[in-house]
Amino acid sequence: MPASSISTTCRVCHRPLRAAISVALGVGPVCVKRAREVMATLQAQMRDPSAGAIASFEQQYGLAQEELRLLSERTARTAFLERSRRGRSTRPTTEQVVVTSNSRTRRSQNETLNVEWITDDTALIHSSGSGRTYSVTEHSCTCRDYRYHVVRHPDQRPNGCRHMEAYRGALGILGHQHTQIQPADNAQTSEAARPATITPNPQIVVATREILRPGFAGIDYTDEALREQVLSIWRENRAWDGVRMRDDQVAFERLMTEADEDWEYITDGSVLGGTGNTFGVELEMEFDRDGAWDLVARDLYNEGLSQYSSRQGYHTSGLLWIPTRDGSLAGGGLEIVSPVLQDRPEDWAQLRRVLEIAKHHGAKVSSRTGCHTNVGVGPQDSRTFSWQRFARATLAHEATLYRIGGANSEAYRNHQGPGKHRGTGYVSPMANDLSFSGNAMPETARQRIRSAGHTSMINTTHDNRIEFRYPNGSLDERQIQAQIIVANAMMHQAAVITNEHPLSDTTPRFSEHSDQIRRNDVAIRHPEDPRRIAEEEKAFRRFLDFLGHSANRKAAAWLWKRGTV
Amino acid sequence: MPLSPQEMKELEQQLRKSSETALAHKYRTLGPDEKPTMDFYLIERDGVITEAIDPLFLLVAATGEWVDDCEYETTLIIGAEKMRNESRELAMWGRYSKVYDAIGMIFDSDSKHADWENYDDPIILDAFGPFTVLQSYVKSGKYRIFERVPYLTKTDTTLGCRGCKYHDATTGQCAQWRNQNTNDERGNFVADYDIPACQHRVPADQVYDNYVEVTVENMADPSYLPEWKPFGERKENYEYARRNWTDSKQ
Repeated sequence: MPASSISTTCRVCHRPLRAAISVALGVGPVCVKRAREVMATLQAQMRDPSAGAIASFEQQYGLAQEELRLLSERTARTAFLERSRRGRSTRPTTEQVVVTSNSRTRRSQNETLNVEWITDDTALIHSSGSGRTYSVTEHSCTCRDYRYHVVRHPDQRPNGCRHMEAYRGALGILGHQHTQIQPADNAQTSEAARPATITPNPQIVVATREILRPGFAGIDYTDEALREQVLSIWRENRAWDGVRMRDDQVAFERLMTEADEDWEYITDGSVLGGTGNTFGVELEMEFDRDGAWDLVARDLYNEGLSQYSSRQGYHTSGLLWIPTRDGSLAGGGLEIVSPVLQDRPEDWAQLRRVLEIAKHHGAKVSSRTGCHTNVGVGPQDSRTFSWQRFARATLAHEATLYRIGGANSEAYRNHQGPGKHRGTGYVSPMANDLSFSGNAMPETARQRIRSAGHTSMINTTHDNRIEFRYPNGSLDERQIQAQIIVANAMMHQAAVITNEHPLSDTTPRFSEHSDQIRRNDVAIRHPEDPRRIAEEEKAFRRFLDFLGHSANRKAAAWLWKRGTV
Repeated sequence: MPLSPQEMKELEQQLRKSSETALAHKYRTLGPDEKPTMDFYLIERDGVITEAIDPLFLLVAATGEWVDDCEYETTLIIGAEKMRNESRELAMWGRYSKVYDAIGMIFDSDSKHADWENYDDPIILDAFGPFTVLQSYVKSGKYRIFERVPYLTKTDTTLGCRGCKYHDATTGQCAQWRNQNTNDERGNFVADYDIPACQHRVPADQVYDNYVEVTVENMADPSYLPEWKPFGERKENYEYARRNWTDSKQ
């Protein structure tokens, strides 16, 4: 066998191979078994085409043994990807949603349309009036009105056909335009006062949700080739500029001087490296006056940012911004959970508007509030090398992350000094014995990373995102943007830094405890202690090197200067 | 994960199949040994027979488009599109045809390279509305249409819902085009709702003993339809088409 054909990863599932026989075959034992099962099925079909699925002409008559083997492996790989995909459903909901709509065709009012998502952006809509079913996305429909009328005269039908309106109605986008919106002075708006179904108003032109940009949000995460393609965008846009902050005192001092200036809130879609990764935030806040949370919820509802007009229970689900209660806050406070966002102008504008509304009604942050930052797991691979790198980085830079999380830009702006991290009550440090192999299953890696408990500073409970729990609560969109930049950069850098990378020394191994600068290592000393100051600076400069690019370093330095552990 | 083009295609085929199965009591393609039982049926050139319960589903069967679930404007667009295609297909057989909509001529298959067998007597395909589209299919020879109640061959040319086979005077419901029109345009309930200008009336008091084939000779003259104009009075070219042509010469 030629040396070039020897593979150290399985051709079917891309997992690493260790056994010599597997390396020689290029397929692992489990996948070999699956491929043989597929081959047996194919052969059965070839012998008796009427027994199962119809085999193609090539399969029946023209397939050589080697081609059959390749076909079996390809089928097994498709099945593997399908299993992975089904395990990560991103459908808005798995339940049917009933939407009412008027039909001009049948001149009927409140005809019901059943909306059922089959993928994250495609739904089947069944019209009860006609008995027909259509495949609908935000921007297309298979009905004749769309094909023959809407696409030819989009100016006449800016909202698309009635099925597309129903699709958006089911997403709750038109919920705020319902005719029974409560008057503005009635703070006791309740869900019970509104009908269970959403009635779109076709007279109103609504801003539609854009389909997620291509990038990590749009690829199959188990497909290594696609993932590498998207990562190459990060490698290009956030390439290491060769600066080592640990060695370059001038550069470090310049950066810290620049960090004194206020952060410019950037909404042009250029802050997260262009890989299309997703993010989200959980904004916790408290109020001096009970009930003010419902005023915030009502305004979010009236502006179309939320489908709920009052504060909801904890863990309420939805597709827009969700105002929920949080038992850890005074009076239940308010936790506003964002939808899945991307680095897009409209998403940043939404974040700013939500914070404006909250501040308008007297929201404030305290030592109890946090601002959990969620970042999509797109950059991490389906194996665990990058997960391991990420966990190593988190351990090594734990003290820095706490300090960054403690930032309080408002106080700093008002010359009240930096903020202080709210403590470990709801933000547990990483487990001391955290360790796992680079060949472990992803689920094992996730379990190990969150082994300090569900309040761990890095929460990996969720399938498609990682929750960075360490940031303090904030109502400053600039600070929240900086936190998102840092968290996003950590995810990407963990994916692109390998053992051969010049920055690999910024992520010491699990066993190199002396190189890990943990929270307790610095918190044990007095904040004015020169040894603590030196230790923190040393840790931070290494963290800056880990981030590797000036845009990421700037965000980290800005936060670091405004926080303390 | 968005669906791939292949998956979209398969999904659409599946939806088409399931929808047509669900509406098999409205229209369906007959098997080789089956005989039609519904009021209308059409025979394609290859002998396939599709039956339909009313003129609306006869149009669905003829055009292959789900015009039972789209707005009337879309039905008109589809009719014009189908007539254009029909004209092109006739041209392949050397038969000259022109397509008109309610305003004027929208397609003329004439070409200096063609050798027409009926240049002096072109087939006129009228996309004025569903009624004329079905008649035009008969004129072009694409389908043979048979009906047990007079629709394309009706002699009673009264307009409106009253006395229509598909209109229930007690509930105000129309089983054909607007099957739930118990409400008027403002949403108010009207028990005996009537659409005075409905052009799709099928006389309830006339039934043929057997199926009658619609032919050019026995089909109803559409001139009784409101706004229908003789072809000579319709425009030969749309205004914008003439202007564009003039511009191009300059």
